[in-house]
Parts: sequence; C-alpha cells; structure tokens
Amino acid sequence: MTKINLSDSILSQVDKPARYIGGELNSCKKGITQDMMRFAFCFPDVYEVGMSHLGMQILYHFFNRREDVYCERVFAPWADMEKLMKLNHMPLFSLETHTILKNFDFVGFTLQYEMSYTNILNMLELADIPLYSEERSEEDPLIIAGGPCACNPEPLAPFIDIFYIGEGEVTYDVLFDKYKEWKASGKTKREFLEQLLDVEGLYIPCFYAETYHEDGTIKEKQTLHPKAKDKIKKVIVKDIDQVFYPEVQIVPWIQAIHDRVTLEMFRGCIRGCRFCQAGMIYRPVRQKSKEVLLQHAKKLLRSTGYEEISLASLSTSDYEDLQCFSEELMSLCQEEFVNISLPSLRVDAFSVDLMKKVQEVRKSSLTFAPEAGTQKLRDVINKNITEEEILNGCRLAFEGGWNRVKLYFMLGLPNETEEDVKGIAALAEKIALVYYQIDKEKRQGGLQLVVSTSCFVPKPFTPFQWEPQDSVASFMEKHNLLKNSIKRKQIKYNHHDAKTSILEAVIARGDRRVSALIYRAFKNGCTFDSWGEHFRYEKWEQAAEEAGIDFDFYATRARGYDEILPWDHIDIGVTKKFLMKENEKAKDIVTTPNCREKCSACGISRLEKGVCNEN
Amino acid sequence: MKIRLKFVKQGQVKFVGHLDIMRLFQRAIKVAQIPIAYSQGFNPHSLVYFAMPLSVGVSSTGEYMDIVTTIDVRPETIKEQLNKVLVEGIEMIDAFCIAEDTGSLMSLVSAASYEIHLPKATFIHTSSAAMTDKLEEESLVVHKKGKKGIQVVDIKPMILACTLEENSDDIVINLKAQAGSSQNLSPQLFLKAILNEEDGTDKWVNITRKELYVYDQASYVPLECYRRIV
Repeated sequence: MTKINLSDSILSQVDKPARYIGGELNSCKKGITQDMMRFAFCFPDVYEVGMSHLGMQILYHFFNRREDVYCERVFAPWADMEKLMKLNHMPLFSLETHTILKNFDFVGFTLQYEMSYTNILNMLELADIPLYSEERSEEDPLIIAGGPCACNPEPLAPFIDIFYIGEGEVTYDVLFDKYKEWKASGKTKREFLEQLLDVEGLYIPCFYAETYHEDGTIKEKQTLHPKAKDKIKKVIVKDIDQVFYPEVQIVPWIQAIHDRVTLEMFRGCIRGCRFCQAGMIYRPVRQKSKEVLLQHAKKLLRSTGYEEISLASLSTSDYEDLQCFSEELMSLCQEEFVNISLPSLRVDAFSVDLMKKVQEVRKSSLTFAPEAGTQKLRDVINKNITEEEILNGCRLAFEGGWNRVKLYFMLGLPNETEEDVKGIAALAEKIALVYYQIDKEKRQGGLQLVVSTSCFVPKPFTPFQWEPQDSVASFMEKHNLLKNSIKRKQIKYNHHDAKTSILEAVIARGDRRVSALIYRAFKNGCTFDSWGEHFRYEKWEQAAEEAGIDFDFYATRARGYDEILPWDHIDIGVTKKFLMKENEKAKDIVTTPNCREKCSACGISRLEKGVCNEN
Repeated sequence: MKIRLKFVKQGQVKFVGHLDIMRLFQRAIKVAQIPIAYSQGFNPHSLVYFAMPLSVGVSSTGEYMDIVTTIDVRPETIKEQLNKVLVEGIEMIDAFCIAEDTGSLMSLVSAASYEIHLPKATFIHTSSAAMTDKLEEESLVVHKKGKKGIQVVDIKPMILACTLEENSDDIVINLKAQAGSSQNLSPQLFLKAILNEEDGTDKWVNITRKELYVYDQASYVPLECYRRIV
C-alpha cells in the first residue's frame, strides 16, 4: 500500500473533515515520477495552526519549484480522526496525494514550540515509522527537523536523523542534490549521513554523544566520527532581496488562525531583549527593500484573493523607511479592498498614527507588550521602553478612538521582586487613569484593559540561558499577588498555566537524556500538550519518574558560566561571551543600545551580513 | 451587471462547509480578476450571493451563485475565467445574465431535487417495498430537533415527487421536495422518516443535490431556466 483510501464514510464521521482532504487553492499537484524526491513537510499540530505558519508556506513552494522534488503537507490529525485511523488501520498520510509517510524520501518536522514534541512522536507512530533513528531500516524515510527549536536539538536527537540549523533557503538544494547522487549509488543510509557531515548547517546527531558528571551536568560533548565538526554553524541567507519568496500562498479550506497574506519584512531584530530567543537566533538583521516588498504584496494578493495582508517581522516599527513603505502599501491595498494588519508594533507616536491610518473603520483592540511592570525590571531585560513612552502611546491610542487595550507581561524574570509584580498592577492603573483624563466626547465607550502574564522560560542562546526558572509555587503566589493588586473592575487579568511553562523550560534547555522524558510522556498518552484541554501534567510527572528526569535540575537550577550546555556545539552566530556580558549587565541593571545605535559586538558580524555591515 | 452562475460541487470538496466555500469564491473571483462590484459603506465586501447552503458531505450538480460586476462582461468569459482558477471538484457549468430586478437567489429557491444512494450492504433493515409503503401513507410524521426543542412534523406535504429504484449495490431515491426559507425538507430529515429505525441515522449515505427550483406561474422551474436573458 502506498496510498490510503480516505473514504467518505470516514470523513463524514470527523469534525472539520476539510482538514484532511487537501486540494486547496494554490496547493501543488504534480505528476509523480520514479526519480522524484518526495518530501513530507510535517507540522506537528492541527491543520488550522499549521496553515498559519509562514515558514511552511515559504519552504513548501521553495521545494516545489524544483521539478525533481514533490513536497506535500502533513498535519497532526485531531483526536477523532486519530481514533478512526487506528480503527481502520490507516497510516498517517499527506494531504496532496494521500500517500503514506513511509513512502517518502524525507519526513521533515518544523520545530516551533517545545510542547509540540509529543505530536512528532505520535505522527511517526501513526505513520508506522520506528521512533528511534537506530531502529529504522534502510527503507524508512530520513527524518529531518528544523525551525527555531532546532537550536537546541538534543532533546529530540535520538529520534531525528538530520537537524537543519538556520534558514531553509540556503542548504536544502545541496541536500537534495546529494540525496539524488546517493540514491543512485546504492550506498547505505549511514554512508549518506557521513557525507552530510561536510555540509554547513546540518547536524547529524548519531555522530555525537554526551557524557555526564556525577552531579548530572555534562562532562563532555563527544564526536563519534573523524569528520564530525565540533561546532555546527547556522546558515543564513546573505541577500535577502534576492532570496526566493513564494508568489502564491496556499489558501486553507477552513479559516486558519492567521488567514491572510503574510509579508516577511525582515529577519532578525535590532533590539536585543535579553529574554527573547528569536531576537538572538535570527540575527543579523536583514530587511527587504521597499520595492521588493511591494512586488511581493502585489503578487500575493493577486494569487490568493485574500482580503487582509499582515506585515511579519519581530519588530515592525524598526523597519527603516516604514513611513514611505506603509503609504505605498496602503494605496495598493485600498485599490484592492484589502485590510492591513500590523502586529509587533512599538508603543510610539508614529506607530499609533500608522495604526489609525490602516484601521480607519473597525477599531480592534491594541496590543502592547511592556513585558515588565517597573522600569528597573524593563532595564534588566533590556526592553528599551520607558513608562512615559508607554503612557504616551496609550494616550494617543485612546484619543485615536481605541478603548480596548491588551498588555502582555512576563512573571518570573531574573531579579524580579514583589514590587515588580505589583508594578504591573500599578502600570495598568496608570493607563486607566490616562483614559479617564481624556475628554468624555473623545472616548469610545467604556475602557477594557486586559493584563496577561506568561511565565518566563529561560531559553538557549539568550543572556538568561544560565538563569533559574521560578518554581510552580512561586508563579502561583505571583499570580495571586497580581490578581489582588488589581482593584479596578475595568482591568481584567489572565495568566498562563505555570505547569506548562515548567515543562517548556525542561525541554528547551534539555540535554539528550530529556528525550526519554518526551518518549515516556508520549507513551503515557500525552499529545497536543500546547492545547490546555489536552495537557496532563500528572502524566508528565509520571514520565519524569520513569525516565529518571528531575524537573528542577533543568528548570529551576542556575548554571555556572563554566558548565557545558547541551547546545554548546551549535554556533548560532552570537557568541557565548556576548551572552555572558549581557547577563552581567542585566544583573547590574544596565541596558544595551540597539544595533543601529551602537554595535555591541555580539559576534554575528562574522556572518558578514545585516545591519552590522550596513555602513 | 447581474450574472447568475451554475456550478457543481463533487468529490472530496463536498466536505468543505458552506461558509468556507463562500470565502473560497470571494477569493477565486479576485484571483480570476473578475470586475466584481463592492458594497458601499465602511466595510466593503464583494457582491457575491448564494442560493441555499449545502450540508457538509452532500455533493451537488446544481448550485447557484449570483455576482454583480462593475462593467459588462460576457457571462461565458466569467465562467471560463473562474474555471481556470477553481479547485478540483468545483466547476462552473453555466453562466447567464439576469434582469436587474430578479429576486435574490435565497428568496427564489422553493424546491430542490436530490438523488440519494443507500448502500444495500449497510442498510440491511431497509427495503424499497417498506419505504414505498411509508410514502403512500397520508402523513409521514417525524421528530425534528430544532431550536425550540423537539417538534413533530408531517413531512408528507413537503414531498413533491419521490421515486425509488434499485441497482445491484444501492437503493436509489430520487426526491423532489420543498426547500428554502418558508418550507424546507432536508434529505436527512426525509431519510429519518422513511428508513427503518434499526438502520439508524449515522451511516454514510451518498446524497447529491441535483437542481434548485423557483415557483413560478404555478409550477416549479429550474433556476437555470428562470428569467434568463439570452
């Protein structure tokens, strides 16, 4: 069997059957030939989530531009479908041709968040592919993984054959060409993997091992092959204006979380917030020119018929020439009756003005992320924004007709005290007062202020990678403290679940031993852990016991600078020295200027591209 | 200019719901670069209208859609342009101009015809003879779950025509029934009334909507024949 029979009877029994049928506008149909390389692009979550993901849209069309490659999509089936698949002995299949995963050359997973990892194992199992690399045969597909979480590959190392470190447009063509050669040569899979040791940006975990001290810390990172490099360097696109960008986007059948044209404005971020992994691992900053962006926008709107376009970047306000670009984009969109959506804006006069312009009619709520409640703590995390700027931004927004504001904060940041937690409530209160200072005629109905807190998770390749995470008990105390500090009924407070964040921390900074935890959790029935209704902490606790994993060792333990970290063999661009320096500055409550103001020698300039080499 | 289009929805795309199909059409019309008109006001939307929602899982060979264009275009051209863009399973089969004062599709629909295939292998308690008997009775009462709770409805007056045939695999029912906003008999409710209870209502049944009708001058006229400007 190579294809499954997705019968009407099965489809009629599941919720949202359109998740499984494929054939959407702009999806890729190809005649299958013998020597074609088949790539299953797997997003380890449900269709509506995966279809919102820009990276998948880019790589799907990037792969499919090659005649000798056919890339198809695979998503995690929802529980109802999974049950029916098991009942009918139907293995996991691709949307485009309903081919079973075993029949692909590559099965690729994108690693977007740690809590999707059990879904990866579940998808492999549903596909009848052995979970551990060493148990797979010559006939099984190669399992490859990339994306932001691949920067610490160790917790998934035993399951994955190839990790891709960096931006997909750079090395996949090399990989495909080498694969083709190898397939014709009749050599073994191991020989192929050995060949890949020469390829920049690829990490082949079976040629590496970890040894441990008695206290559980890493003693040594070993290479098991003479050709295995000590450091695997991230690969990046050098000419961002010339790099492939799809002219079409698949338009999903059912409304995705983000159902619109996504325009990637730039990669990287000049800000250097110390908690932010994306801000470090996507460096250097490379922005696309206005002309290129407008071209993309035009083509994508034409090919999708979408009624909304979203500007994607880590900090849209930092696009140089935003004024000019946004004006031209607005006139283009007005002609086509298209709305513009602007996520990731800073709270400043220009941004509020821009939002006013693009949202002339419907005033949706405004979202700001001060991240911390006091100036001290904002300086600790290098979130370079003052209270005055926040209040000013809010005033402008209120005067502009907004009355719903969402504020995002983090709890459990390094150096946080009770005063900092209460500071969140105080800041929200000040914002409310700003609202009531405005003339009544200018206000739009009643104020709705939502304060949301997430629990800080220290991540690899950030200055806080050595820092301990708060305990569950401490998070809960802080939730209560904040809840009780908010007195005004117009201010609503909600917070993320602390237990999920503990597990994120364990996995994010996990070493190879943490793979056993993920495996056991999966075997205990955990899947869709990022979905509140599916998350079962007790099962994870049970799995930890079975796998001999101590959550505290990974989550709440402070690491010394001399400790070998699980991701030390990955060279993400920024240096460890820079991260240490930044962590020390956090302790001294000293901020660092952004990359355009002054270079802070993070080490990324070695990659010879981006804002650091602009001048 | 008002243009009425007839299309089919077959194959697995029948599992895409009505609202999602509406969104697809709005987008496909833009991709096909049809000079579609927009509504006035703060939140303009393209002027595309549909006749009657089709349940998820039901195919159709007789769906309708009206569009308004800003300039005069040959209906045939619009049909071709859309077919170039549209996905597998959805195909425009007819396009024609209608008079500006023609009522909305939604208000016109008053009947629909269906072809229903009951696989004999799964509907073991149901026979053509038993169904024919039920259809010949004066009333055909069924419990219908609605917003107001469970109602008892006599569906007999809503059945306009019904024939039964058998082939080697299936019992084939051809049903013409009232449809639309005032009186509506869904094929699912019809089946609930005439199937043997022991066969239940959750087995897969292949249903195709064949045509939609407008009530005009004391008869039911297929929409494709109604006020067509040649």
